[in-house]
Amino acid sequence: MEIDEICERLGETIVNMDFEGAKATVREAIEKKVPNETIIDCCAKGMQEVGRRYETREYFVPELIVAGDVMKEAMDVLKPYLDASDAKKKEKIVIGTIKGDLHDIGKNIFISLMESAGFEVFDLGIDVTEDTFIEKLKETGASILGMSSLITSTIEEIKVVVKELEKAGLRDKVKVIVGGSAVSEKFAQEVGADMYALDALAGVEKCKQLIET
Amino acid sequence: MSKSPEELFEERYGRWKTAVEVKVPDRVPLTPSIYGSWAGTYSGFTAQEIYWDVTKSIQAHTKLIQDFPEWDSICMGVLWCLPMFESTGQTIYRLPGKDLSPDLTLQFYEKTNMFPEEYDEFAEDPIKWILEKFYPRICTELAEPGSARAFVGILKAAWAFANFFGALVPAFMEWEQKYGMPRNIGGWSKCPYDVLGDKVRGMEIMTDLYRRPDKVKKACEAIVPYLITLGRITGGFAPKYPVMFYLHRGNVPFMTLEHFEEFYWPTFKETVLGVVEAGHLVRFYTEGDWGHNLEYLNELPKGKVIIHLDRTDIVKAKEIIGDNLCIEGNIPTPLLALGTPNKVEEYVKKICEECMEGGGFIMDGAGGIPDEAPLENVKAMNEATLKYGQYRR
Repeated sequence: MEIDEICERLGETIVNMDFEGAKATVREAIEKKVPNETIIDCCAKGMQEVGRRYETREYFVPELIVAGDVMKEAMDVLKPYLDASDAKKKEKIVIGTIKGDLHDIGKNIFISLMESAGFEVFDLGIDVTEDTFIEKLKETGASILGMSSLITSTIEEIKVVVKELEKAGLRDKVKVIVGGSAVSEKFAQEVGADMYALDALAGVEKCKQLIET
Repeated sequence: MSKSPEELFEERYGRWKTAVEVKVPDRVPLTPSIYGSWAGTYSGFTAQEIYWDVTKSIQAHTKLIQDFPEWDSICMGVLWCLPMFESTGQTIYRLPGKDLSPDLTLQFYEKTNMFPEEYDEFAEDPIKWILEKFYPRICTELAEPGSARAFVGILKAAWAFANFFGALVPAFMEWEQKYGMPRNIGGWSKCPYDVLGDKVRGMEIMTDLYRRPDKVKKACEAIVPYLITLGRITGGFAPKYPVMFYLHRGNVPFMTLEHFEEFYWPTFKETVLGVVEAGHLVRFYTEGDWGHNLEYLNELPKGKVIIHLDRTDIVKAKEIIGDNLCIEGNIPTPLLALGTPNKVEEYVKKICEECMEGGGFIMDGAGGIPDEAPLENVKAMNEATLKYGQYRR
């Protein structure tokens, strides 16, 4: 019972963006011998509620970012107590804004949410060439490639990267997700991407579904 | 008999001014903004040429004035003096032909340029902080204030700017006096929170709302007088045209209404009123969706403000602010860039039907004319405005 109560409180501290409260609650949970995995799950549930509030426009981008920061700080408290058996194998994703495009706010929000959701993210930044994408995919063995495009004059680059994936023999090993305001569902299908996401949260949900299947 | 340039100017400017005052002109004014390099697209210049060479940019915009006499103003959005940028070694913009391919538009690369512990210093004396910390940080040539290198950098920048302005002023005069064509931007200023959000703190401003809210508020308050002065000085060169504010961070999804009310609106309103009190009109580019903030705009003086709408529902805007403020817009950017002339006409017809009644409505693209817009879509916008935007026959 006590564990349930602590868990609930921990989730609430994240939803309420309470930095000190979240860290104190994690410390309390550790003292009370709450299993590490349970603590991590409680934080993740808190972030899910934050996501729900974002969708219903109770929360906006600042709240998403700050709640993510609270979760990270709470996890830092737990880190010294984690051992190898707690570390789940993380799914890897390579992500970047395509060549010619320098926009990264949406991409960075997506990255922050993906990390909260337990993915290992390799961020290549902005203005990323097809070669850089391919190299990083080979080096990390990531199973997902995320590309973002915000200006209509550069979206063709997505096609180029998908073609290069085929040439490199990676196409059937890597799922491609695309987003950004220049991209649409229809465009994603045309260029042969596997998934399209309208916003950062939808992107995280689609990536989660992908690894569950 | 054809009209003299003076008559044409009076007709176009009068039509626009009547709409600004939320009264009914003879037809809906057509003032397509060009915030990027569409003039180059039209005249066969690359973005690189338009951005770097002011004479080519002037040539391209003059051609638009000659070829589109039905427009009620010309907007030369590329008022970036890249040779000046280059002289300072600035690092926050990536430039066509230098960092980007010659066909791509200039882009702002956002990062944090102020440490959180510098907020107090900023609020204490913003200009001192900008000159001594900000410019050295973002401009490689100005990295050491007072050095010979910085001196030469500033000298070169001033020379480049003088050349730029020296070419621009006669062109502006020619557009008015030879072609009777007004402009739709006079001077410019900024919203205090956007100053912090765009170039100073970048994305971090959003977490500052929670981590150090009082500091954000103080910093916004500290720059109000300077932004009022900026609007008055730049607007003073051509007081019949509005002082432009590009608004970036106050809208959905960057800020809740509570935060807007506390952090964005009070100092922004004060800045705008300070500019209006000096006799200026003001024009906002409300980037993104301003649907939930519209009510606040009604606190501004009637007939002095033009709201250029981007993705806000313009019909809703007409309902909420249309009796007080002039609304401008908003043919969607994807429609102008990738749609068909028929679809453009349909949209223009629809917004004329829903928004022109009672005046106070100006036709424009949601982001002006996008760089990739095909000519036939721009023509469709022009023709449809003349067709559906008539008040008297």
